[in-house]
Amino acid sequence: MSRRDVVIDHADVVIIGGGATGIGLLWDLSLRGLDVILLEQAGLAAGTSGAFHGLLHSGMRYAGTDRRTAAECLEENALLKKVAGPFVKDTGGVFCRLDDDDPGWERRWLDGCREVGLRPKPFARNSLLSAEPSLSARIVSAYAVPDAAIDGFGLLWSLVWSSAAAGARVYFRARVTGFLTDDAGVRGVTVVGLGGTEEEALQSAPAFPAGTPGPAPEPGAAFGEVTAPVVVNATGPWARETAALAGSAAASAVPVEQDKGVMLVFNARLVSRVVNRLRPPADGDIFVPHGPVTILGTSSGLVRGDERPAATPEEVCLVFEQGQALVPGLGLAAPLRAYAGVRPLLRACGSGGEPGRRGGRGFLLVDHGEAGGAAGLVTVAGGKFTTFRAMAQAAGDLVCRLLGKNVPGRTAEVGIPRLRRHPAGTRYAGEPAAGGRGRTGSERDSSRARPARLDGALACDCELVDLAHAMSLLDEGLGLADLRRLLRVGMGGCQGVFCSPRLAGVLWQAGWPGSRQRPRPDGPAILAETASFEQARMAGMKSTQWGAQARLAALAEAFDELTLGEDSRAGPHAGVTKQ
Amino acid sequence: MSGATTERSALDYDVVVVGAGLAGLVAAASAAESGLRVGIVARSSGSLGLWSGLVSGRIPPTEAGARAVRFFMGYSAAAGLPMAEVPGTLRLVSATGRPVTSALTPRTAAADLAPGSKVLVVGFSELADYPAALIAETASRLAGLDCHYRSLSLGSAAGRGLAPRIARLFDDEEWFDGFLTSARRFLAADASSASTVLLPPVTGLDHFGRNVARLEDSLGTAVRELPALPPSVPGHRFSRLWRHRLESTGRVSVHIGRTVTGSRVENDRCRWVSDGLVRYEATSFVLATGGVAGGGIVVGPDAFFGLSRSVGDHAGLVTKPVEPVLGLETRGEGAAWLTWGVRTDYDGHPYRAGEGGGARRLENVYVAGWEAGVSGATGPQAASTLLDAYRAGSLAARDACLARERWET
Ligand SMILES: Cc1cc2nc3c(=O)[nH]c(=O)nc-3n(C[C@H](O)[C@H](O)[C@H](O)COP(=O)(O)OP(=O)(O)OC[C@H]3O[C@@H](n4cnc5c(N)ncnc54)[C@H](O)[C@@H]3O)c2cc1C
Ligand SMILES: Cc1cc2nc3c(=O)[nH]c(=O)nc-3n(C[C@H](O)[C@H](O)[C@H](O)COP(=O)(O)OP(=O)(O)OC[C@H]3O[C@@H](n4cnc5c(N)ncnc54)[C@H](O)[C@@H]3O)c2cc1C
Repeated sequence: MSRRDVVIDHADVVIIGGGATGIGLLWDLSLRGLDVILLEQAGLAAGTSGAFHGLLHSGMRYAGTDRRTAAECLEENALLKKVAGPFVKDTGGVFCRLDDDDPGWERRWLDGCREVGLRPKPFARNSLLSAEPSLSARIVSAYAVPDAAIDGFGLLWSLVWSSAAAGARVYFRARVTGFLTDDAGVRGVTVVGLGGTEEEALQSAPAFPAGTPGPAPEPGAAFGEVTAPVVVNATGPWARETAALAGSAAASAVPVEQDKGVMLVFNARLVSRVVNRLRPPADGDIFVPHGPVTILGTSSGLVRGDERPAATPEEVCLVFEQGQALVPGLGLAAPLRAYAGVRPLLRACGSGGEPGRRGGRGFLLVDHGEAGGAAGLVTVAGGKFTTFRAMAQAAGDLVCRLLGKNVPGRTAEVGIPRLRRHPAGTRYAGEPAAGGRGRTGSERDSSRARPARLDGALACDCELVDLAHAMSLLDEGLGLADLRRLLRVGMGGCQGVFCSPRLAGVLWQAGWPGSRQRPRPDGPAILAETASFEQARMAGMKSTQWGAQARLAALAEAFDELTLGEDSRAGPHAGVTKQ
Repeated sequence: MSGATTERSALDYDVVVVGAGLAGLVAAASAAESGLRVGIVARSSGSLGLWSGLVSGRIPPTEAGARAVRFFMGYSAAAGLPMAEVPGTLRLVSATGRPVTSALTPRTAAADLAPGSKVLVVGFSELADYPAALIAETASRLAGLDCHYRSLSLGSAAGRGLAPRIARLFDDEEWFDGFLTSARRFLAADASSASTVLLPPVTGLDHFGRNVARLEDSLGTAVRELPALPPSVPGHRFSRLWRHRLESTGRVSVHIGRTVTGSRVENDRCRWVSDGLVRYEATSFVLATGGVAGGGIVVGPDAFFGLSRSVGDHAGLVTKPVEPVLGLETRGEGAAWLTWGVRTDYDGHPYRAGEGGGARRLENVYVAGWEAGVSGATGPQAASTLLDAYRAGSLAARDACLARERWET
């Protein structure tokens, strides 16, 4: 029997894609009592949902251009503040018009807001400037809106764990490479397990061009099948490529394009509420405060899906210069890093809408059985993070219809508790493994002694991450990139420069478990792993190297080369011009 | 160019050194040797808190190199931080177990670990950043050592501490007596089959020399401290002991916590620098402000964007060199920030960007350490910092002496 024939797992529904949309659907279907599997090629929220702005939109950004999206966001904004309360920082938001912005747009915008049911309260200029002293004195008018900040990683992890507690299985590093079909349509997917770190997984598997099979698996990568009567494609910006695996008819029913946006993180709370510029949506016109940092975004430009998005210095410059108009002292704030995400942008069908940011919003829900092509396949894509629940509910209704079940969705009523780790006794698969459910904590190789006392020790000083907590998650098969998204390891002031050697020591001592695809790392291998974690962080610093960040980059080079004895010349600290 | 004149008072020295990192302290010591009055003005103790304590790189086999090393070793010994007198370069391992070398090494760290050496790496379970097990593992694989490791608890008094706090504990004699007893009990067997026992560099901020010697007596094996991750006790020791020694001569005043923000330049000479409250006047100046890493050169966003746009052509680039202090010309390679530094002539005099593009040399200022940029060829090693800081200090002193003689006659 070839390894291809191994059925790894079976369920009522298989979801492809572990972003907000896929995880939202996992939660929705779990609440409806269905047996669900989620397959994600990299890690949790490794796609757009881990590289977004963290804004729970009031929707008013779209009030002047796309009222349907504005209305959807406004409704979900109110709903999520209730059911996802622990993950929402209700900072409030403000739209500000600068002296040289078009006053005509302000009127059109106000009309749009009223039309979707919101009357933005005018914010007196002087009280705004005293509440937000870093804002520009060039502001001539301002309005308060119910924008908020949302902790995407925390929310999505909690949903994964809550779903797992209800019996759902989540496979990371599990890339879908094709659909299994029979006369009745789609009945499952083929999966290749990607070994190594998340970075390596992503690099070895860039999204492939439409219509071609995926890249050849690395030697040792596990093959398998996951079967279910209904398969949902929730691969966000890559939804078209995924649909193409089921044929060109399926692909043409998914008019999704990839629109890159760049964001800049500043190591200061520059504003205490979400600040938007009141003008037609453009670059660098939203500031979102998140705890001690502020994120400025964003830009827009269509890209091809087979490259990992990265922030170029040109884009950073553009966003920065635009941001300076709202916050004139921006040059004095310490930039932490820049990052890029790709929006799943819907090409407006039929109406000839132009691509890019002004294209159609709303989201796409396709029953491929109806659209022609593949019965049993559903695609849900587009939308916003803010509307993930509504998207999941709509997709959940469709899935139930296809399965002939009549169970109503409950995500609008059931509150989402914040979980810090997954509940004991639940099944959780760190990776696809032939014939099994993956590794669980209890199977951990404990031949290496744990340090006697972990209590009170920190894995990351900048973010005050508890070491014992970090270790317990590594035991469950999570990787360093997961720790970052879950616990913010390496996301503080030092950006992983000083904590990565510490992590190396801890990982070694604690006996970081190996896996079926990856032998338990030896000392140099662990150092390589933590160095690659640090390099991924440094890559994000490359295009923000001024002020404190230039200084950190210089210190990091000295630290790696001198203190640690690593050769950093070829590494990430080499200058941008040497790329 | 000069700061607003808000200063309430002025201090007058022969030589003012701006910066109190490795370069600043060495330059001040060398300037003070000729009996001059020296003022150190610095924001903080610089990179010393991050420094592993090793002097990486090679000392050039020249007369100047030998003189600088002789001075450095003599001064450090007198300050209470004796260096190893082993000639040549020592083979050590880093805080993650990779092989590193050191040309000048504090005596308590001076091991020369040849491949095949039997080494016992000891860790303390209370010390957060000292992965003894990993060090032993990587050192075995990458440096070819025959390594074992043991982990020792320091007891409840240690709490869970960062290195400097634990070092303070080692300075407590009574506590150390107890430690010695348990070290003998738990380590003696393993230590006797090793040629070197490697400890974290936390054996005291003051009494490390005595403590290491007592451990050696008690274990009957050579005991050495390994370089560690920041916060670094060897760097703290250096900063404390050298500053103490500088001040104890009565000729050097150390002003820490002072950021230089203004200056006055007349006829290509710097008259004073100022922190906004006090003016520091001097005949000659040493600028040892650490470049981009030390905070002496600030990279503005415009400079960065200009740089990343004009790949390969950095002419006319304006970073903000110690602006608004002296407005010096800088140069460097792309965004490899360690390479960025103040442009100097052979003697270390910087150039001030002049009107109409004509740069003027500042005759009474010398640049030392990372402020002069790190050459891509040698890397950011302390060996070169040391040499040029010694030279800058002596040249500044020579100028000040000449000026004094001129003035006296
Ligand atoms: C710059 C930027 C800023 C944004 N800011 C906001 C904001 O502030 N507020 C807001 O509400 N929205 C925002 N958005 C939009 C929002 O982030 C996205 O709409 C949302 O995250 C999309 O989620 P998703 O789950 O559909 O896609 P993704 O999060 O991209 O998830 C798709 C997943 O599918 C996986 N995948 C792909 N192919 C395969 C395969 N073959 N096998 C297995 N897995 C596969 C990918 O690895 C990925 O994890 C922003 C978007 C961008 C680009
Ligand atoms: C992490 C790290 C590890 C290292 N490890 C090693 C090693 O293992 N081996 C080795 O050989 N070398 C090592 N070094 C290098 C060495 O320790 C020295 O840092 C280096 O040679 C530069 O020293 P410096 O005195 O020029 O700069 P710094 O130490 O940075 O000193 C700069 C000084 O200038 C002050 N300053 C800056 N701007 C102003 C201003 N406007 N006003 C007043 N004061 C100001 C600062 O406060 C500081 O006192 C390491 C360095 C770092 C950063």
